[in-house]
Amino acid sequence: MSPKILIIEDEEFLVDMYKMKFESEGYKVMVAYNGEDGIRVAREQKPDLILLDLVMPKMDGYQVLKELKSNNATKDLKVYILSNLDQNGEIDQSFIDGADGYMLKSNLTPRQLVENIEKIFAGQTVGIKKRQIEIMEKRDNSASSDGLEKAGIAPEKIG
Amino acid sequence: MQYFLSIDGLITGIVALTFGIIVLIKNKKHIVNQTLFLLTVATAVWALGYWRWLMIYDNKELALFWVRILSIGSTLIPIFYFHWIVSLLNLNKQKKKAVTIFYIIVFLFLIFSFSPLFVKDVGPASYFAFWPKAGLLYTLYLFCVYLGLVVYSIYLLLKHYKNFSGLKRTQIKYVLLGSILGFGGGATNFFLWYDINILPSGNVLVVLYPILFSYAIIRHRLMDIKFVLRKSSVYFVSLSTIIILAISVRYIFNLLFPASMVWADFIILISAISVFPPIKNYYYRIANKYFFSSLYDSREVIANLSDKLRSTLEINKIYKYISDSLINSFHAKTVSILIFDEKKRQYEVQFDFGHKPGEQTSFTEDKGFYSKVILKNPVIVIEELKEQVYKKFKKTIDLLIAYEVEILIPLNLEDKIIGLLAIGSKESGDMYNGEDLEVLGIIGSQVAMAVENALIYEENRNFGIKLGKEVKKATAELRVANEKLKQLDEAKSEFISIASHQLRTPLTVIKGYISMMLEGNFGKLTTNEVDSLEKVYESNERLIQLVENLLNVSRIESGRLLFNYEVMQLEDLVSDVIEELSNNAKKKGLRLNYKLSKEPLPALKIDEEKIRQVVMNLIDNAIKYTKKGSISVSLKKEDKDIQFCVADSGVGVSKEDLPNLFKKFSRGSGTSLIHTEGTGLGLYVAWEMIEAHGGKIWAESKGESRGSKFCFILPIYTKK
Repeated sequence: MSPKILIIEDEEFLVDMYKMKFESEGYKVMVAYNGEDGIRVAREQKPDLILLDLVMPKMDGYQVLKELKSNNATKDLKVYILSNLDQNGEIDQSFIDGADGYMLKSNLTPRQLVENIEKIFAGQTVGIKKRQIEIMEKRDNSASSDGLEKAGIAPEKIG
Repeated sequence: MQYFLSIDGLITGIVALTFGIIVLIKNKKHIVNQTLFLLTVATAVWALGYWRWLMIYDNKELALFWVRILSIGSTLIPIFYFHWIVSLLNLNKQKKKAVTIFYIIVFLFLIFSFSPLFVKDVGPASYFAFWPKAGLLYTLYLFCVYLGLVVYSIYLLLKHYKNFSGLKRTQIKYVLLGSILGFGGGATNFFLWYDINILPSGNVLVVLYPILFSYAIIRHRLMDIKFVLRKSSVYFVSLSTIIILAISVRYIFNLLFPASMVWADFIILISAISVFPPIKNYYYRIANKYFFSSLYDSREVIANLSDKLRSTLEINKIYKYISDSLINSFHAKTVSILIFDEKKRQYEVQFDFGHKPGEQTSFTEDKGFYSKVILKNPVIVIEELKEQVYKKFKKTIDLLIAYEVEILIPLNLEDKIIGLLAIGSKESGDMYNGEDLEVLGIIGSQVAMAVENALIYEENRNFGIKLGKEVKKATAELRVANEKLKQLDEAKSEFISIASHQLRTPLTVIKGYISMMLEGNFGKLTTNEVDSLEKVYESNERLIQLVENLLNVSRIESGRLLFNYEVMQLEDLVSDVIEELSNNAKKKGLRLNYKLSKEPLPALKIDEEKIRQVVMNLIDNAIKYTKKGSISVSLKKEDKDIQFCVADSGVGVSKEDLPNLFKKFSRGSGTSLIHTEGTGLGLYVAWEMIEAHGGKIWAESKGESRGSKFCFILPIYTKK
């Protein structure tokens, strides 16, 4: 049986595009245009991968992610954030809330996204790496802390 | 006896005339001075007649002549005296009729001066050769006019005494004393006229009255009569005590050792002189304690106030101390302290005791008054001032009198006027005597110093408080402004974040569909179609890059650019980027060389994503701006850094543009650095990233269309 992918995304054009590409690659695609539907479909269908947008009306991606990861029925489902937000805070928050990975939409063509999905199913990690916040905090004495200060960034701002 | 009284007459005459002339010279126009002058002239006529008459021992006719001359003087004395008293009490208007009538009566009597109706005759009486006998008119005159006028005048003095205060009061006291001594003494002459055997020994006192009267008129700082009487009574009692003691001692001594009396007298004299001061002091203390409790000790007052003034810098306490001290020692009815306001040029009442609230609170400066009076006198007696310069400073003096000021003490420090101390009359109505004024003068200079210090202190304190308030206010304003700025800043970042997100969504759609078209997902495309779509795709990629850079610039500006440092090998990162971009270079027919030093490079501690952006940016730029030829990427260890360079054979950079390449947009020079493709922003972001890593980035070029070289160095990671 071909793997099931759930796209939770409010932007119709994007959904159409990804659906077309994924289906042409042989995946079974389910779509939810808002967070509530997304949670319901995830619970019912147990997809192999969920691609979750962050910016959505009513219930945003973080809420959906928390809900999925706090519910026993859905907590083991693989959830990748697929968003056009790329600020550190947003990425960090997603990982804190339990995302399995983070991909920036505008960086990827549909084909590249499919390649990433193949890697995910092959057990690899793709996309933007989870930041090692612990390392950051210990950087006070490190060689490039001068540089940090020069850029106006104090280590304690992180987090 | 006759001779002695004759000389007394001469002295009295000369003294009276002298003082009369002095009084007249002092103020010729004033009715008080004029009438007193007339009185002294009449007295002189009488006294000199007296002198001439008593010099005669054998010529009856001549004696009678001089008696009649002296009678002219004595006839005029009471009317002039009366007129003078009326003038002194300011009663000229009310008593005009009485004065006129009395003048007429007196002149009617004068007509008969040389008739026997007035002086009947002269003949021996007691020790005297020719004493006059009174005629009928003389008796009438003596009892009706003379006595009447004198008694009425003294009645007027006593009646109006209560209505006056200060100087006038003291004047009246002197006049009363002079009147009693003068007329009382003079009256002893009359007994022999009527064959009553009482000698005219009181005549010696007559000389005192022109002196006392003149003193009262001329001298303004009269000695307090009470004070004089007190002092003299203390002296009198002390002297009496010593004399009684001395006589007693001498008497006892005489009984025991009658032989050595000469020595005894000498010893008693010396002892008497030496015990006088302690005895005097003893009586003075007793007198002060039991009889004259209002007498204050000036030294103690000054010392106490001085101590108190030194004890504080609080201006209100200082005012209170001054006021208390003046009220306790002088029993002043009112005390006001006025401080000079330099801006408004006026004196403002800062402290007041005794005035009703709402009375005058400020006095505008009178320039002439200031320079002529305030600067020149340590103590100003308003009544004296009124007599001296009333016309000149009428307004100011009237104002001061209306404010019940009797003494004005300027508070001066050298030439700087600080204010005024205004003191009202004493509760007792007595005037301020010479000693009082001296004390006030000393107090004035102390007070000036204390008030000045306190005012400076207060000013400083107020300034401090004001400054504190201002700083607090400014800080609060800054805090609010800062809060607003923070909110604005957050709003700005949020806006940029959302704006870039919103921009990226359609860009992603375009990117996705174009890429799918190019990949043949919608059927096979012609070469032209592929060519066109590739251009769309590439332009779209630049837009995405631009959004990325805008976002980065925004983060840099707001200090939100965060780094995720990891220890890694730069050559791996560069290899990845070259692999990614080699296709682009190949499409443009460019050779892309990668020169990696043979020895292994040390690791760096960098934010992979950020440095990847920089490397990508630099190589991508080189491909973009090079039409033909080659691009060489090199990586090597350079001292403590690793140096990355991209050299191309492209458009190059002009010398003028070189220093501005890494700046955000154009700055001042007007040279546009925003290339159509938007690389200006990319280099600025690269510069910021490399700087943040503690590295350096720069560009080299031999000139336009002669190729360029972009390099950066990053410090090698060393474990600590």
